Amino acid sequence: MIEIFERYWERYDSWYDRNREIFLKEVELIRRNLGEFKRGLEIGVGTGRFAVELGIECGLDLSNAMLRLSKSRGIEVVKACAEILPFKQVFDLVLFAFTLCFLENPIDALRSARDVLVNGGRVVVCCVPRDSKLAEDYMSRRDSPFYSKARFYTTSEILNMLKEVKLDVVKTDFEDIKYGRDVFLAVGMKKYKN
Amino acid sequence: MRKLLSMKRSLMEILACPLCKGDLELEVEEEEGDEVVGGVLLCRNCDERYPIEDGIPDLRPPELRGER
Repeated sequence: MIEIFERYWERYDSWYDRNREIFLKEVELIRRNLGEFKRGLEIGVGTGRFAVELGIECGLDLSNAMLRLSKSRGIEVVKACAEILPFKQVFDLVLFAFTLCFLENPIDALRSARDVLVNGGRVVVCCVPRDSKLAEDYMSRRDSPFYSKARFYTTSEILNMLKEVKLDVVKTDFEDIKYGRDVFLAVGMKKYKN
Repeated sequence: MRKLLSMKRSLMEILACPLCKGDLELEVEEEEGDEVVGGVLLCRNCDERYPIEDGIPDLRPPELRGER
């Protein structure tokens, strides 16, 4: 997967300029569900587009090209695996913005995210759910280097994953992009110590 | 001359060894001002070393860095 991003990072990054209106809708969905936070981490920070807009100071990814661009945009970045996070328990927000579908093991990544949260901290997952018309569109585009590798999950699969790693689902939300309820967001809170 | 990418030293406060979650020690090889351009992050607990290149620490487990 990472080779795709390493190879097509310019194309990936330019999507945000070519689709500025959609991007800002997605940012708005996340922003209205973030609440206040002191220390945020974005998993799969990419080229830093969401982190910059949302004021998230730290991000991780695997693509050197993307990490360098993200860093030049002011994000403190780390090259690391989402499933084995190299952080202490210091974050009150961990964001997965359109990342879960590209991970080898999303459950391990969510569990690892929970492990770096302080009590009361939140994991925010934002994605195009498989049970949406937009996901059908994406899944039919087998020519796309990105979508052809993505694994989409339904809204209930996302909620079950959060529950499986002992994150309490405290909020869900949708945003209309093309057909209605195209983008799904869920907030999972860490309420227990272990 | 290109502008060097560098890592803030304050990042050390939140980083941990991905394998054992132990504290990491910073060995600086190249710096710019107060920030680190190149060096190594060392875990005394499991004796693992993680490189910092162009101000970006590589904290993948060693087997995923292709070194073993």
